[in-house]
Amino acid sequence: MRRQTLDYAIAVLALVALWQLASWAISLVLPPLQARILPGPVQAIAVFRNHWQDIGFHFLGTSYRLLSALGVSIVTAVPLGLIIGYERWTRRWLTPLIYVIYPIPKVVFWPIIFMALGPTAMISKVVFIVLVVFFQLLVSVRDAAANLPKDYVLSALAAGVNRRGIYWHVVLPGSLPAVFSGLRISLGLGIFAVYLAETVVGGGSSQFAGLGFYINNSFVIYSFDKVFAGILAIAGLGLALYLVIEGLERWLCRWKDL
Amino acid sequence: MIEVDDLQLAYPNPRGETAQHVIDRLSLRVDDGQSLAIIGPSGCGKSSLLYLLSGLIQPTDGDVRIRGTAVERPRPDVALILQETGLLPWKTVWQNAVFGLDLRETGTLRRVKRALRELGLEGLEDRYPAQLSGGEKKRVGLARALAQEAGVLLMDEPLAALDALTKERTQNLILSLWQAHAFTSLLVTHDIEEAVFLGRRIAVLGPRPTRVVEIVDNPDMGTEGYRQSEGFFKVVRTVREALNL
Repeated sequence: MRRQTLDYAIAVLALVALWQLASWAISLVLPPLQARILPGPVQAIAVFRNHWQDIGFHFLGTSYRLLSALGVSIVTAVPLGLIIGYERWTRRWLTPLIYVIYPIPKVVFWPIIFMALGPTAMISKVVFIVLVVFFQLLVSVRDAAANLPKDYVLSALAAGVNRRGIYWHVVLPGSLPAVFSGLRISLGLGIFAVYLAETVVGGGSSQFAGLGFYINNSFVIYSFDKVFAGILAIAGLGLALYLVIEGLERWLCRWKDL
Repeated sequence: MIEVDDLQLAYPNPRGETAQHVIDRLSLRVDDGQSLAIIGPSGCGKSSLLYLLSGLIQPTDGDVRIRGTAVERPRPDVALILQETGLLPWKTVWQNAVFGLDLRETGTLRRVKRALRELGLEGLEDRYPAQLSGGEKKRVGLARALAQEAGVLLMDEPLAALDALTKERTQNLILSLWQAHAFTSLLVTHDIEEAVFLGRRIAVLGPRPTRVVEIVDNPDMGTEGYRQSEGFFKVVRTVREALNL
């Protein structure tokens, strides 16, 4: 654990150093006015500290939307993926449908969603993020459940375990590593989706409009140091959620890395 | 007694058209407490036969009865040990040993503890299969069967993945368990010497669609020093001939 914390700290420091170098390089080659597009980390952190309340509210808004969407996706995609992967008839009939829908970039649906549910409504943003995240998770879980070693299921059936028990004792735990790996990918997509949703329809002046709105709004007014303060906040949110997922995986799949 | 009469098994081919015959009119009798080893070429349907006996699949035609009742689904008096032992990697030794057992039933806990003790797994209850050696994993599979107090133990190449030394030790263990608990044992194996060491009778199966080609009697099996005896090698030769080797 301490080793892992150290690894993360080194990675963050390396990134900050790289950022500082890039900022210096830009300031050397571009005129001062244009060089503002890439402020250094010290500048961004100073803005972050000065506007932490404002950023904090947006952070909460973004977190709420992202976590709601991830929650909805997990409770729908995981059971559905397990059933589609494990049951022969669902695998046969629903897999082609999933693979037809999966490659379609979900962003093409956002105008429809926002028109249908209202561009400023919380629900339209969450639905859009769910749409982006759901299929990634569904495909990961389906594949894992479909490829479970036959012996596990046979052994449980021979022990007299019923169908519900097979799901609980075999299919779900056997697919759990894939659920977490799907979740990690989904988190990246989810952050992209929440940013996009808040950028496009952040509109109003609500203090909870989200980091997407905050970053985009700062960009429009050429306040690049605020843009980067917002990026810091969204990166912090992503890192925190990755760490939560990793911690949960380490706890629930502790049998995996022995 | 296990009675298998005119057993037939056919799977639809991948295109779902005409059936692929796996087992063709196979008949067998195994008395209670008897030990039968089943040997035959790869893919001949040996494992399918065990799945039929354990009630995991149903025959296309013919009858499978254990102790006078037709096998229609998995039942508590029949235990199945698979090639990879079927241990669930996310369950500990204890959780695997009690898997499928009703712990509220009187005596179950005592039986599980006794089985783990008998198989030398005491103290390893909290370990996961990944933390066990190959031999220990096999012993967990056997402990589960013992705890189940199954009258019939079906084993599908349970020792296939073990190194020679561990394999021989586990064979000795299976023999001593069979002698001590007097369960009916059916062992599917690719290993002729293993079949002769653990089978009071050896059923030699033919290629797919399989049927019994020959039953080789092995009356001295289980006697002291049998593995090194002339009788052992004689039966090995007989089985080899039956397999056209």
